[in-house]
Amino acid sequence: MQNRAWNFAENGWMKEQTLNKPAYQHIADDIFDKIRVGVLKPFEPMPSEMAIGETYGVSRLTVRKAMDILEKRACIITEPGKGSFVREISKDNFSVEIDRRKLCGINIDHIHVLNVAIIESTKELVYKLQIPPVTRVIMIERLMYHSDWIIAYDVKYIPYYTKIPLTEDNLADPNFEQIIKDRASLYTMDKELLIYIETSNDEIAQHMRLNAGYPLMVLDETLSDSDAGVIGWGKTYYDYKTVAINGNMIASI
Amino acid sequence: MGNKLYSGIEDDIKRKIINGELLPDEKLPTEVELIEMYNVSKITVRRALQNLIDDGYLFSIERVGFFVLSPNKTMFTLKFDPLSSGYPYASQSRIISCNTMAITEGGSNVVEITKLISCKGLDVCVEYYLLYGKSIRQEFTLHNFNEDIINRKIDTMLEYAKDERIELRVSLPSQSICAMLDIDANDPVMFVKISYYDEYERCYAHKTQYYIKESIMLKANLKKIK
Repeated sequence: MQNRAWNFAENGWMKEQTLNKPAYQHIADDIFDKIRVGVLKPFEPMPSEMAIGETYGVSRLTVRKAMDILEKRACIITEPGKGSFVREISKDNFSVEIDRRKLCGINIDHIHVLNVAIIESTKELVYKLQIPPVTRVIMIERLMYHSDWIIAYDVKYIPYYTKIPLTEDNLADPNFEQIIKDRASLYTMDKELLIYIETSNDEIAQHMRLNAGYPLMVLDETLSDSDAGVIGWGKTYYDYKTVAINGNMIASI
Repeated sequence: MGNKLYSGIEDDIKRKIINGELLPDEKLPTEVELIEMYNVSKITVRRALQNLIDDGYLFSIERVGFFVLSPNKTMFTLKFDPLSSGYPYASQSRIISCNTMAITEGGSNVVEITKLISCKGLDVCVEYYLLYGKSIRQEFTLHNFNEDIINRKIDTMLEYAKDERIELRVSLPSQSICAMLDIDANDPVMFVKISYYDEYERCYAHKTQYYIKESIMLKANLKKIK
């Protein structure tokens, strides 16, 4: 296994040394390429410094330098006492914080409940909530304010087939999980978010006191529980000026 | 049976956390106490505790003990992969312009590249790069009109990033964006800016994208705490 991955030393890196690069730089570039093309896979342990030194025919000090470069480039990660590992290059994955109470630094200081109703399920609700077609659904419509400014119009759907204590307290929190926290443990709950653009239709425009066709950022959220399956679905339409989502690359292993 | 001892202990502690018998930030009994409580070996207790840490139920402070972690409901993993969600079909990109400029201060140079991305013949995104570097000007002027080489150079540069930061918002397009995407000034676009940082935490590149609203849908999931 190890031999297969490390058989690349003779594939010509020595010849390239005429380009005046120091040996450690060459080794670093060579290993970097192997990671990039997938010869070395994420989470795989790197061979010991001794083994790498032998493969390339260089001293341990040179290997150490090459490893430093790779670590700086975030290709490998060294865990004390365990050795080095290939890091997953997951550059398209970002870690973002999305807390509905303070998206983009604008605090939601007041929530107005527009409507709580029990409705017949529609095709979309059957699909989104994964419920039998005859199930009734609780619909909650709310407006979120920052002083007088309506930041968002929010609608949530929860299947009605079990007794869910819905208290006014729960409805005063912009985070969906707080509304149904009595139904499922916050520890076993999972969330899936979709982020996209819509423009306001007449109804939303009226609620938010905007013109129709006004840009909105939609956060579409599905809550599920490992035991109960989907337990809620909802959409929040934010005034586009109020939301920015920021994130960092995920350093994983 | 087949049930491992540690998974029994794991489930018991999990149940107590879910039921609220153990509250967030509460300290768990010490390892020694747990060993006595469950009448198992140290290794078994350790295994159970480690699994609970991995699953996001506990955290540990060295030499102090194990504590109940508050459930994470706000940290998400955003998969920024427009190819799967934004573009349902294969996309093509073409370079519209590639300009180099000198910044006198600090001897750094800038390369400015504009790309248009289209799918099924429809232009869906303007992609705008700013790349900084001392010798970058020479590197790019050499290949001024070869798209393949420019694209490869951009890719190589961005792959070296030690950190990347992303910013997402909805905005109204500027006149030039409107013209390039053939949209109206009232049509909102998704503004995505990714900044690339080197190992010294200096920002050395920006990629800014403007997507027409029909073309983009991003997905995020709760992040598993490690």
